[in-house]
Amino acid sequence: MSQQKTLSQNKEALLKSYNKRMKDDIKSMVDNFIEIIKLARVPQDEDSQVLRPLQNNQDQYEMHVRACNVVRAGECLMKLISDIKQYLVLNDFPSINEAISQNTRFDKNMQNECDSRLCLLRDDVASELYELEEEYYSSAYK
Amino acid sequence: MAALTQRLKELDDIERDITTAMQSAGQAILELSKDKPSLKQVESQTSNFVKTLENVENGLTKHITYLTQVSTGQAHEGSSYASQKDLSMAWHRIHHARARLMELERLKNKHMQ
Amino acid sequence: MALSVNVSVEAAQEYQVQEITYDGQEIYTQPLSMSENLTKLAHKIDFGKVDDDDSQDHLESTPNFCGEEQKELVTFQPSLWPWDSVRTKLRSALTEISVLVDVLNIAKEKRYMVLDPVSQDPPEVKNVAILVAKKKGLVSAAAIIQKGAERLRISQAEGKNRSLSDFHLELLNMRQKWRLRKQGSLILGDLSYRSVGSRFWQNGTYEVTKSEQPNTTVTSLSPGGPQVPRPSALKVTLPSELEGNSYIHVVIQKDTETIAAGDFTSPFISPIHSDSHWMNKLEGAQNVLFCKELFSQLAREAVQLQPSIPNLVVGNQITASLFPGVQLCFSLCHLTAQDKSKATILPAPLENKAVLEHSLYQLLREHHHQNIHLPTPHPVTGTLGVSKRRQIAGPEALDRHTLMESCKTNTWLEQIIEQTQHTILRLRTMYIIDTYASENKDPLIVAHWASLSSPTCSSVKINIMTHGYETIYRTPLVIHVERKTLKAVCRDGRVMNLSYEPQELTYLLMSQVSQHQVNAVQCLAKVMGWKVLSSSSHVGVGPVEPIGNASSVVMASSTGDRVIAIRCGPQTDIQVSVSSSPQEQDFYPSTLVRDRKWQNLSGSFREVALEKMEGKNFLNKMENLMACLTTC
Repeated sequence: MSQQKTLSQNKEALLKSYNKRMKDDIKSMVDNFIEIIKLARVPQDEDSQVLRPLQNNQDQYEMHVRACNVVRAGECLMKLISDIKQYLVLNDFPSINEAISQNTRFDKNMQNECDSRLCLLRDDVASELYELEEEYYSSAYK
Repeated sequence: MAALTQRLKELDDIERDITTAMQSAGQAILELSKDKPSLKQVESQTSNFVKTLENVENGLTKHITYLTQVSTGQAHEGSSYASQKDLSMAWHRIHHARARLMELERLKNKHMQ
Repeated sequence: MALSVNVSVEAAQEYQVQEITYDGQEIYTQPLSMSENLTKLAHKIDFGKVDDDDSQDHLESTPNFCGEEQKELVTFQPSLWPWDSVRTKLRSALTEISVLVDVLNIAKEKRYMVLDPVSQDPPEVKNVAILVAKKKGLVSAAAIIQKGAERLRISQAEGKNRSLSDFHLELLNMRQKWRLRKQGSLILGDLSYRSVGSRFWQNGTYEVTKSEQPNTTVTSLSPGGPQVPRPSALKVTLPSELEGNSYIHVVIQKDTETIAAGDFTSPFISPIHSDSHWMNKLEGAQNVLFCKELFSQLAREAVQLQPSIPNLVVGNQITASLFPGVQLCFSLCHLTAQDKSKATILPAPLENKAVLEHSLYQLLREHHHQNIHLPTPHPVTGTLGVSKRRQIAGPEALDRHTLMESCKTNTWLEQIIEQTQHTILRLRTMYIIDTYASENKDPLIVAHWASLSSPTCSSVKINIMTHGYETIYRTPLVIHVERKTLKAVCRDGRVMNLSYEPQELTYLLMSQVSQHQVNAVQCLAKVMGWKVLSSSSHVGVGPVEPIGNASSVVMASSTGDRVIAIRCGPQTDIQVSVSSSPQEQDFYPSTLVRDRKWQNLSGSFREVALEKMEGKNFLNKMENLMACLTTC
């Protein structure tokens, strides 16, 4: 009972984590993109504390890092999708049930057909064999 | 099974959407960095990006809700091994019958010569 | 000597001379204040060149140490894990930042260091330069994003085109037929029959992983061979004892020679290579498990049963005796990839191919099925799992003995032994009948085996008839072949139980044949118009027959002047004697017989040489005899 509870909790936790990962990644992609665009603003007549070239370098570096963040978030999403796919394939109950019942039905049908054909074959061969036996045992050449 | 392949295809489409989204993001920024950026382009690319990401989010949420409804944490305890084995035994029966009949045929051919 | 000389110590000229005025005054350069000094020093540091200096120092230092290990260290460094350069760069960045933090902390306290703005000319703010710089940054950012997108797109397109099929679709295919589950980060599968009722100790857990992309240079294993199928995206790791394939080799041995082998050399048991498809591997492993369970059960029973001739269980072989001199031998043959080289030459498959092994498989499946499908108790509140007979035991008030009897079932070994005994007996019976029929052609022996039979009981209907006279008379005989005995039902309804000795059946056939001859002649006599004077199936006169009893018949012609006497025994030839009346011998009056009229009585019997007579078979000869003896 407690094992079942922990299992369902684990499942809930797992699916929640998938949700969270997805939201985080998408949020990260959008936010980083917005920040890159923001950084493209040229400040008008602002006396900054930092030297201009340094600020330029810093901005370039920040854009670089944010772009990498966007790419990383995208790749995390891909990994998430692959995880979801795997989970779906392995744990989708209705489809597993259906697969098992379909397989069982198919196999049983095939087996019944094989057996019925064998029975028909048996009957045919039995009648042929009767005549063959008759012929063989009545002949003088054995 | 068909439904499941359908789902996997949808997830493949979502993957492609992510790539498209990233491409449009890159395009938007590239456009901005040109000497004469056309703001229309930038805006269209950005809206593409945002829309695609929304699609991605909706699709994934749909799949995750489906999974919450449909899966459990435990493995399925059933299998179709029983009927598989029975079918393979039926195949063996047929093969055996066939072998005997071919032997009969062989005998017949031998004596016909 | 005691004079002290004033020694004056002057510091060296600290300040450099900036300018000497025309009146000889030297103007010294002002010493740098603390902040100016710090600025000057800070300008000297070139942050971009720090690493190069370090590496150059390192390279320069290696010749100094001139140890081969040091050189090896240097040559090994590039082959260290790929993040090494990143780690060093991060570490140096950490050092710099910590220095910066320390400086800032000290400057905050304003006791030892104070940050003052360096008075420099304020640089011009060039918006264009800023714009250009921003655009450059944007270009690099866009390039990164586009490169990433391109990478993703390529990997996706590759997934469609590459020779490996999609991992998830393959996994789906696998899950359609096999049990899979996820444990932690591993995908495990179960191929044992536990889910359908087996209780074998060995579990068939295997692991599924993504297979590595095959090296494109190693695809042509057989360039002109058959088309190589698409390599799979899945890799299956089986436990080592389940690899390969196995079957149970059932052989019936008569002392030392084999008379019937039941090996399962069907094409389904093919050797499994290490690079065959995972479907084949899994099926092979499942088969191995099945055969192992079967064999272990048989071995257990073989040891527990205590027959008169004990069973031998040695390694992978079980030997049980059926009849004296005939043995049944099971062996578990396991084919693994390593055994492929030493291909065991299996004995030429004789009859009974796979029938016995198939029965074994059926037994095991039945067992599994029963474990799962327990009979429903009636009423439903009864105990689950109790067989029907035991359920009725209560209401019917069965005593202990009856209960035990009804619940006794045969073990698998016993069942297979029974089946094999029946098989052997049936083969033997066939052989006996066939040889007897081919040796003795006079009455034809026609055997029809019944098409419906069970694994432990078959029956054959034998008709003994004479060629040409089938409608006149035929002797039917039914033989039921059971496990260890034969049951023969004769024409008159007598049932005889024979043992498995072949001679008994032969004697029975012989006696039936001899009785047939005599009875057939009786019917022939009716047709020919002769009268049967007497007939006997078991005559008590004459020489004692070695086997069985002789039968005889005496017939008289319609006119009564010819009498034929026939005596036939199972092993003796048929003796036919004829007597005629009136007697043909000349009459010589003797003391007893004085009158000629006594010559009219029938005379002595004279034997007929049957082998010199015309006729296809005995009845034909008899017909001819009767025809020529009939006087109108």
